[in-house]
Order: sequence, then C-alpha cells, then structure tokens
Amino acid sequence: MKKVILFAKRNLTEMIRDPLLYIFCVGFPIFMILMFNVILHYIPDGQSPIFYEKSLIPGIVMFSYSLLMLMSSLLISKDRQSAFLKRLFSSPLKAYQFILGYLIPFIIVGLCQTVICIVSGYISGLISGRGFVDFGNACLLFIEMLPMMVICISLGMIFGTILNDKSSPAVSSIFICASGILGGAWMPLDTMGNFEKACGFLPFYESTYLGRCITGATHTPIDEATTLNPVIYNFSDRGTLYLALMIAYMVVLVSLSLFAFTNKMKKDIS
Amino acid sequence: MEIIRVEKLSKNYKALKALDEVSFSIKEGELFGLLGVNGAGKTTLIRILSGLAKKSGGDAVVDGHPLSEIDEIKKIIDISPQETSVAMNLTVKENLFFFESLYGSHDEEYFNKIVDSFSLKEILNKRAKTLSGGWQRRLSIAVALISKPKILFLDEPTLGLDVLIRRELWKIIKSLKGETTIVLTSHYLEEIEALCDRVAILSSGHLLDIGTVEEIKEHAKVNSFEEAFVKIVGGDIK
Repeated sequence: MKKVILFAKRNLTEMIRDPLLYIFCVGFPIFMILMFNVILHYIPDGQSPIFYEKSLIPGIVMFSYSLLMLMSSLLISKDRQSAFLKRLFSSPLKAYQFILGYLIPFIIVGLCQTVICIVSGYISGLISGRGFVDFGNACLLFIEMLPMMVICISLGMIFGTILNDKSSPAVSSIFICASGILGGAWMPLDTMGNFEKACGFLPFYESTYLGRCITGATHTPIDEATTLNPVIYNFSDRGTLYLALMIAYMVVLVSLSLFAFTNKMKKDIS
Repeated sequence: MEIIRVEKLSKNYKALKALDEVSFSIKEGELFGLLGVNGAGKTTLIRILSGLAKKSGGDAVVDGHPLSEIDEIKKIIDISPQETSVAMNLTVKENLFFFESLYGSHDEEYFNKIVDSFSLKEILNKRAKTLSGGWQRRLSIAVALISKPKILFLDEPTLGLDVLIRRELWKIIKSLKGETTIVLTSHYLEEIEALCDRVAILSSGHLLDIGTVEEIKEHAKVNSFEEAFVKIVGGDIK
C-alpha cells in the first residue's frame, strides 16, 4: 500500500501543479454557474427553471466530471509518451498498484469538484433567494454523483491508455460535448419527447435526472398548466431504471479501463 | 564473480531477428559496454534484462535469478532509458525521493551523496521541466542510482548532449565504477573507449566480438578502436 500511496501522491502533485486543473475542473464549473445567473437575470421569472440552482447544479457537477476525464486521460497519455511509465514498468510496482495510484488522485480531485460545485450552488441559491438544498440532500446529491465520477475517470483512463497525448484530448472533447448536450445540464431535454428517452440510455442524463430528483428541481414548463403548477422531478418515474443503468455503465467501464490498462502494460512489455 | 549471464538470448519482432542467440557474461562491479550502430540490438538486450521486453528464446541469469523471476530481478536493478524519464512537474528533490521510496526507505546519507555527486544541490527545489536537457538527463541518471541498484542499465546516456555535458556525465559514470555494475549502451566509440572495462560489439542482433578495447583492437589487428569497430561491423554487414 505504501507504493500505491507514493505513486498516487506523485500523480496528485502532477495534477495540482497543472494550471489546466484550476481552469477546467474548478474555474469552468463556477464560471458556468455565474454565466447562467446572468442569463437568468434577463429571462422573465418562472420561464427557465432549468437554470435555477436546483436544476442546474446536478448538471454542472455531471459536466465537471467530463473535464476530469480530460485531465485524467492527459496525465496517463503524457506519462506514456514521456517514457516515465516505461521506467516505472522496470520498477517493483505491480499492475494493480499502477491502477490504484492513478485512480486515487482522480477520485480526490473529483470529490473536491463535487464539493466546490455544491457549495457554489448553495451560495448562488442563497444570494438569488431561490434556495438550493439542505445539508442532508446535499450529502445525498454528493453520493448520487459518485457513479458518474467513476464513469468519467474510467473513460479518461481508457483514452489515456489507448491514445497518445495529442489524440486523447481530442477524443475527450467529443465526450465533453456529448455530456454538455446529452446530459441535459442546460438543455431542456424534458421538453424533447423521444429524444429525452434516448438520452436516458446514456449515463450523462441519468446522473443529472437523479440529481434533480434529490434537489427537488422542477421540469421545464411546456404549457400554461405546467407553468402554473410546476412538475417536480420524481424518482418513482424513471429513477430505479436510471440508477440501475448508471451502475451498470460504471461496472462495465471500470472493468474495461482495468482491462485496457493491464493489456497495454503487457503489450508494452512484450 | 559474474553477475549477469546471457545464454543464447534471442528476440524476434515478427520476421525481424533483433537478437540472435547472443551469449556472454558480465562480472560484478564491471562497467560493461554494448556497442553497435542503430538497430544492432543493444536497447533490446537491456530491455529484456530489465523486464521491459520478453525474450523469444534462450535465457539470462541476473544475480542468480533467471528471467522467469523478473520480479526479483526488478528489486536489484534500475534503468535510465534513452529518453529522459522523470516526473516533469515534480522538483529534483521530489523526483529523487519518489524513486528512492519506490525501492525502499529513505537513506539521508546516500541521498546527499547522490545529490553531491551529480551537483544537484543548487537545483534541488527546481521543477524538472524547468531544467535544460543536459540537467534533465543528469537527473534521469541520478534517479536511477538513488535506489542503490546492484545493476544499473544506462541506455545511450549522453545521446543528443553537447560535448561538455557529455564529458561531465562521463566523470560521474566513471566515479561509480566498482560500486555498481553498469551496463551502458552507446554508439559513440570514444564514450565506450573512455568508460568501459569490457565491450560487446553487436550488429543486426549478433554478438561479433567481446573483450577490452585493447583486446578488440588486437582481434581486428588494427591500431585504433574506430578502425577495429569498422572492420568488425563492416565485415558483418558485407
């Protein structure tokens, strides 16, 4: 375990000394919250509840993980390109120690991102008077987002393992776009009928949807009736299905990332 | 006493024979050179001996362990690859500490000895990425030594460095003679001549000659090491 901690510490240090971490993983989510507050300022009350903290924050947290995916893929692909990993392959480090050594700092950064987004949402809700969630539900939201975080870290590990340091950010950016659009963070998917159902088969929207069930967010109004009586996101509608799908994605992608990394390691030593 | 014995070691990359039944041995404390032109099989050989590549045939015994016990071998060796391979966002001190701790516990006295030998004291708190290529290479070799390896593989340690930095690195490598068994690959003849106790000349995966520089000159019946190398390798190419 000492070697895992040592390698994890090195990876965490590499990450926190990279200015991109602060721009992408901390600055960008906060910027998004501020930006949507400005947009809301110019929209009449009640017309765009998707930009209210209760709706927006679960989406922003989900989106911030896609930026973590970019960071993790970059770190691994850079290590591979720089021959740093090659040197470590000749050291007594075992395959599982490599994987844990990468996973731990990514998880630490992801947890910090979640806290920052939730606290920012709380402060924003306090200032705007729209409110956010109580401490209990904030903790529940924190836990609910964990599978999505693991999914994004796994994707980052897969891209970092199989792609080089030039193509891994390019492929990651496709997923960042996908999470922004298909995750429903700022796009009212709930007004798009079958398109929303299709997005429900992807983990991005599942995590946003479940997060909104916890925060008690309201659906985007589609007519006068729903404007007057907003419909709250309800776990009993699709919650169980989405939760099961998200966990299935997590299990599959974690297994794939472990397979990809160990397989690549074996290939590099062949 | 021999510390490495290579027995009919072969490595094939599909149709290409990178190593073809190479056999020789290296004595403990020796500074052993692997000399050859590009593609001779030098790097392949040390990659196999350090567990970074799998053999296709034959075997090697490193400090009593056959290659099948590579996890045991990894505990007593270290390698400085051709490319500088340090953690760029860590400081010099953090890099040294990281590699030292990977292999065992911190030894302050030895740590300071390496820092002094490589003249790293002034730059201990600088990040590796801010150093020049020569200093990065110096650090790369220092981190390979910090783990107190019994055997150190130096793959083209001075490749791409200017003559002054190369001479400085030679001094450092010379100072390690006797304490650690060093296997050094190079295609710089003057480097091999200046540093190595014995040399193995490889070409196209074959071992063409082995011995001290003087013995190799005698075998080729010429007066200079360069002429001997050209005669031996040129003959093989023909």
